Amino acid sequence: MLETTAFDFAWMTAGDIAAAFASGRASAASIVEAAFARIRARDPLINSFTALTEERARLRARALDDARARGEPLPPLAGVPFAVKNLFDIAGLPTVAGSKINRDFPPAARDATLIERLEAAGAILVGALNMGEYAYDFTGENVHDGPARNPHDLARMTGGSSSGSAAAVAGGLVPFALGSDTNGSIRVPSSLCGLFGLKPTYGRLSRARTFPFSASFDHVGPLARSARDLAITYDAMQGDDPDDPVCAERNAEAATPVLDRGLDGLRVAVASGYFKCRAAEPVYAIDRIAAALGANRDIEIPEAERARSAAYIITASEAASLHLGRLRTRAKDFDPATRDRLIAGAMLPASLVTKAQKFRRWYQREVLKLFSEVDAILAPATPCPAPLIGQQMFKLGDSELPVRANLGIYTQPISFIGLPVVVAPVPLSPLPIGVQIICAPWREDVALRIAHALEQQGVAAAQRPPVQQR
Amino acid sequence: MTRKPLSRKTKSARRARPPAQPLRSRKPNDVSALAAAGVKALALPVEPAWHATIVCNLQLLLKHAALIDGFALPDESEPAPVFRA
Repeated sequence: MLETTAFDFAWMTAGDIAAAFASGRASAASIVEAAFARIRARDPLINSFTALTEERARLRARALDDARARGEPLPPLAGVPFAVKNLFDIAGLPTVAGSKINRDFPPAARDATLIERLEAAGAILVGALNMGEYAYDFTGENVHDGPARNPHDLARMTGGSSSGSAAAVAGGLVPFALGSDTNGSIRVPSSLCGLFGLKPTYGRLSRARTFPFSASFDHVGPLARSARDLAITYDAMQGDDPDDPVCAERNAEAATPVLDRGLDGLRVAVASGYFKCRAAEPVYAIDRIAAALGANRDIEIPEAERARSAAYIITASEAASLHLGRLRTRAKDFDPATRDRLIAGAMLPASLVTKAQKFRRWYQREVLKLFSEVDAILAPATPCPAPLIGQQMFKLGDSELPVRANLGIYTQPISFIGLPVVVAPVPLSPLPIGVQIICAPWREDVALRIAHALEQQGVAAAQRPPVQQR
Repeated sequence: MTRKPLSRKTKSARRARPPAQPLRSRKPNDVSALAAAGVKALALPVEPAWHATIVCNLQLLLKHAALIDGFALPDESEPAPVFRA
């Protein structure tokens, strides 16, 4: 068996790590020890982990090494380390969801469904990751745990709320991580940290035993450094789950086998109107990807601005409802920025929230018509590359906008109706930025195929960040 | 890069009626009063120092809500979440 130092697992894909383990070139124990060594060395700089699961990871690695020694068939992610946003239940740990309050919760009795499925596929959980408090965040800042830092520039935001998930993957600590996305919380950090991210169709992946935010829009999904890793991990997590009432009763539709089909016959258009960004980086990224895909048509997503507004108020109202009791008993233990938005959300008249849900139905019907004409729509993932940590405002065209509320302006109208999206990262200097590949419901395979084709062409790539010191 | 727009027109809801009285932007004092009353009605222990930020957030929410309120939908419109028995 080769020693740990024979491989630099840090920048290998999940697929390559699994292949190294399956072929006997590396033991699961050595892979896991290398992961913990990297986390100890690098995480003090990027602040992505909030808990490590060393004991269970070592036990799991030993079991996989023993299974391989016995010649048993190995599952597709055997030996691959991963970590999860700390709103996923991990047996034995309280599910903190980025908060101070939940630290007083009893330890979770059982893992979240997606952790169980990934471990059944051979992956090894190494820890829990930093996030914006209760997922009500686009910045990656957290007053309780400190901000996760962008591995491309430690002074900059990761984006949120899956901040630690993006930082850990972009920083080479794990090859993939799980996040959640209610209004953009996988797609915004994927864009700012230069990663591939998948927000699947609403109801595709089980949310069972994850801490909620806004049930109408909550999704979960992976972030990774390659489109293939997104596909492999996504395939391992699919399937009906009676523990999540929203999870669709639908057979798994594997994306990995069709990944190499290329662009043949796919019709791609660029979102115009509301999505026509006036900032240099998103425009460059969209144009580059559109040119690579031969996307020479624009298409208007109707009433997208209204959709964003409706998402905004439904989120505020549902989140307020979720936290009303805690606002009464522990208001001072919230991050003030979260608390004051939640309290405002509690004041929204129900008549307006119901109207927003009716509008959602109308908007869904209109947007779905577009997919008779195209297979995928391109839109910016964020209006700018990563802002500085603590930055309050940013410029978009002639306007100055608050960072916190507006990093998700292009993601909110899409998750509002649950469409599947893959973010493809475009490597720019000094900071990357992502493009959304938006598809019809249940067509994650198309979005992943396009992202993979762009990666093959060298147009999309998760660039390795420069070595940084604070 | 120049791209050709796809020619498609979006129909607004055909049988929609205009909202009876669209939500107008409120004066800051109205929103402040709404926040103060809401806090009492919901028994939320809000400190005076928090009030201004809550009002600011509520104003933003109502601005977004006005966009929705101003959109005509038919009386028969179903909300998106559907309970399945």
